[in-house]
Amino acid sequence: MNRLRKMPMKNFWTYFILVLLGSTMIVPFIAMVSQSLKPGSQVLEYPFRWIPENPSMENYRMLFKQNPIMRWTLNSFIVAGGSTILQLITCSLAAYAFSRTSFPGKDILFWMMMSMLIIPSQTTLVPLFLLFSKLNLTNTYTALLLPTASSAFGIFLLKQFMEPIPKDYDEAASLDGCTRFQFYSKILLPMCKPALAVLATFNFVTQWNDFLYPLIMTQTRDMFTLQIGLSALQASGSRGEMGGMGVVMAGAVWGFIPTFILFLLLQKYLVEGVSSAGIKG
Amino acid sequence: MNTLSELRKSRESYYFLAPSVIIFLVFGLSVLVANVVLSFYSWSALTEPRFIGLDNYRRLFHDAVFRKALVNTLYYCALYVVPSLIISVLLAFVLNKKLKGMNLFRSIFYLPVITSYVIVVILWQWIYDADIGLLNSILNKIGIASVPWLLSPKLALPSLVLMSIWKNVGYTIVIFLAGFQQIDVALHEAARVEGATEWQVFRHITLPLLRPTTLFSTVMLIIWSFQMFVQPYMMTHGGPARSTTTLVYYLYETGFQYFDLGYASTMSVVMLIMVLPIIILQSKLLRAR
Repeated sequence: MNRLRKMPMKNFWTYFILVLLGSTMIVPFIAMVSQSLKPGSQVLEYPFRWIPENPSMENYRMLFKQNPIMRWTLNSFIVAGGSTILQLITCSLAAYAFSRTSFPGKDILFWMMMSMLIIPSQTTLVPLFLLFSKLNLTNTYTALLLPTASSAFGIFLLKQFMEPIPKDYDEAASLDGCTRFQFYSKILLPMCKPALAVLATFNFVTQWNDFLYPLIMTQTRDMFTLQIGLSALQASGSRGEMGGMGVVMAGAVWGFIPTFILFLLLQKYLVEGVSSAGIKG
Repeated sequence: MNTLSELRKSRESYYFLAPSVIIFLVFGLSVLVANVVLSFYSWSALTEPRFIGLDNYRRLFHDAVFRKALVNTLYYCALYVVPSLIISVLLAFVLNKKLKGMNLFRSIFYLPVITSYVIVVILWQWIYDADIGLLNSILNKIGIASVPWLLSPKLALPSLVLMSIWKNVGYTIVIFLAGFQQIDVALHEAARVEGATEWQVFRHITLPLLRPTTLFSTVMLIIWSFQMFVQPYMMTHGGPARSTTTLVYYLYETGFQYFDLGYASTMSVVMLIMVLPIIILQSKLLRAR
């Protein structure tokens, strides 16, 4: 009896905490949209007005007129999409070799690659920059794409997924005259679709949001990724140029939309990517 | 005969590995070696590289800004890791309950995680603005005077910490939720039957079983702390009074604003040595799986 009466009260506090903290997560985004719809200097009004007095798309018009924002968005799609396609290929090939074949030096090679590729990228910026400078490749898609064409996380994730698949498949395929590459491409890869989806989503978002590397690798406005473009926009906006904060907020909303759509569609895979990195520690 | 076909088979394995191994050799190993070599050179954008032995390391040792950046990074780490862990373990505990709407709340906490730092920074720069910011606007409404968040050398770094917790807490929540899923429900029920309260179950059964998850999250959070860059770059330019100059920000400033490339490489080497124990721990944790 006593327990039954206590239950709703306990749930009340659970929901109270969640609604309180949950709204601190959402409210800034709502405020961002609200700010982006305030024309001219209304964005500077204090105290903050939640609903714009006379909402307009003025900031968005300015944003598109003064900045090659479509080009930045396209660049981000090329870099994030290209890196993802490359990783799906290179990581699944390597994961196949590591999980289903044996060869001399397998263990050493695997752990060398794992430890090398988890070294923070910040610590190799200078030589990477010099390397691409010497090759005259800074400010190109090649420089933005190549270093992320394979990843330890991807190899690890796919290897973990491939290992439990029974070896009977390999033998049966080989008896039927399948080469190893045919087995990999026609039988193994289709079985790995869920893991490939996790890797694709996870890497796309990671590359889409990456900042420091494209910052040092791009020099002209037309090669900026969306993140670099938006940060340049923010720098000029805070100096009061180009229509100031309203336009910057409109840029933030524009940059938020693609990840938000991806989040709505593919949240399952994103969350799986995070938890598969963390499970069991 | 047999060894010959085995040899052919392992050669085939190397073909599968080749693309990843080449990328790893060129953009991992060689770049890392080059970085160490560069750290013994004096090299700016205008001059030819000149071998100077350990001079860069000596300079680093006496560099007051580097020391400040190291202290700031450690301070950030100290302020960031423990509160993040506590908040995310408690929220994961609540979100793990079988109640209506939990999936929606999980999504809500994950929203800032997928949003890029650039957008989060644009938002929070305004939220923290001393004159027209959202936070001060709300504080004023409930009768609290405006606070100069990013303009005060004392408050700037803690403000960045608060923002980072807001942005990343959803990530560690997901890791802890996965950890909760691994725990045997039967243990909880047995304890409840014995008359343990919910808090006792959480404190004496759930938390100890979450130790591996906690360790993994701690390592992640420490690595993130050492990588912190966008916030000082976009929000504070390392100031006021160098109070938000982190290691990576100082590295960027040295290498890519002053083009003191040799010295920046030296910083990378020293940074790498500092985070190496953490990286080794992380790869051990992965290996244990």
